Amino acid sequence: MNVKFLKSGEKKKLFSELDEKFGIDKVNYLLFETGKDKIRGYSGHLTREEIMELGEIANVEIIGMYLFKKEVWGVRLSHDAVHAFSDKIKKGIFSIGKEDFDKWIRGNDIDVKCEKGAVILKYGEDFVGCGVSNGEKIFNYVPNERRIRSRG
Amino acid sequence: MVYEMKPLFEERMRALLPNELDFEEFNKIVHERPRSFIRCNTLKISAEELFERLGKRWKVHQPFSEYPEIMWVEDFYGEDAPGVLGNAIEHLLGYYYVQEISSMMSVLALRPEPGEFVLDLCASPGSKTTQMAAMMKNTGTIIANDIKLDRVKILAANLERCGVSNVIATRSDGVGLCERMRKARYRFDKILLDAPCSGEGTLRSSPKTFKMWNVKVVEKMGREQKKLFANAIKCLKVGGEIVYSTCTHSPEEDEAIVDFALKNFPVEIEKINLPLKCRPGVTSWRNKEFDKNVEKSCRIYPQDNDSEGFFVTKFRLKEEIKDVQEEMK
Repeated sequence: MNVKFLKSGEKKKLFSELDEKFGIDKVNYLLFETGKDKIRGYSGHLTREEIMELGEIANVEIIGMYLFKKEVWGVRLSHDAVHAFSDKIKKGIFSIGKEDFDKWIRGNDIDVKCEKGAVILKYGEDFVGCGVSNGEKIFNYVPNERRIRSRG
Repeated sequence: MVYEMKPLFEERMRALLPNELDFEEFNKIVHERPRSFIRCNTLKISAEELFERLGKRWKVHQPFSEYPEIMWVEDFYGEDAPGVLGNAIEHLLGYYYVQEISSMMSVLALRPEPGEFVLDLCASPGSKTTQMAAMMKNTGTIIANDIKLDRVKILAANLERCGVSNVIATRSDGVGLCERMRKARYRFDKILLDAPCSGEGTLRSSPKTFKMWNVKVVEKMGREQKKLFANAIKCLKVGGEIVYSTCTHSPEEDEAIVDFALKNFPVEIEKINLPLKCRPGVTSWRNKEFDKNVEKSCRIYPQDNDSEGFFVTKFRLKEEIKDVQEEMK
């Protein structure tokens, strides 16, 4: 696994964006970038040096969880990061009703007007993922295996 | 399709269950689909909250007051159960894991705690890894290994769904990985060796096991399990604990491994308290006598608990293992 730990400047930029967009003021993970501009976070006790040492004797496939994706326009939270930060997210939330949720959880985009950029979707009490809005529509990022499979 | 026991399998099970009525109860229940158990993922939601939510739609029970995260969903029996439970919103959001009750026992025996360094040697699909991560509150570290990439991918998907962030997943054969970690002086507080096995305990959920069962597989697995144990134990801290478990009844894969451990390594069996009825390990099998202490192992039979079959033993390493001591010099 190719791992590039985030440098302090990169972290500072990321934290500032997370705070500004979503009100996330604390990120208690060891952060590193893997391929495709994905940022993962590890909450365990090993230091970065110990992780690198482990990589020399073991075929490391995954470390921690996928949290963020760097897009050209900014940062997007992964589907599961919205739960990891559920107690910290204070803004950038868009609440949806049952009809839109049914579309969303089946992998469909939803036609709603909201601010452009990454938006965290909430249905009832649940955070149900992070989409990207162009102002007219929220594009779906629910991973395939996490969608409701329609019967028949 | 209804499968029947192969004659040799039946003969062996009758030897393990000499009481005719007991055997008949076993033979009856292994042809019935298992109950649907789920485990609340406390990394994402409290057991209380999940129970309340699911209780609005389904008949849900929390059978063990000391383990509120374990729930039995009464509505679903049969082949549709995994589909219904797997397609529910709460499952897709990672609020619970569909896990058979007996398979939860190894982690309840190991009792990993926050901050510990844990090795899960045969981890996929991740039911026990995610159970441990929840008990450890995403702290410490779990090295979760499996041998094949497709299995590691399934493990990864379950770790993501459950919001697990304290795991480092590796892909390696368990023996080789332990050997390299031992040489690099990695020592774990706890190790889970939920070993690959012939699967005799999974007849209810996987009836094809009736057809697939073969004594040669049992013997082959026994040899592999000894190798895995012999290497895993050398990665344990002195005073550390290792749980050996299988989902099979065959003593070649269960007590024979425990006997091998007791005769070759400075380990002692720790008493375990599990919320299921356990029968003691067998002390002799097919003209072989085992160390008397194998009795302290836990045999879980489906007819005792309306569950699948399982086997669990917990060891504590009393002192440094000799060849490891020599290497350290």
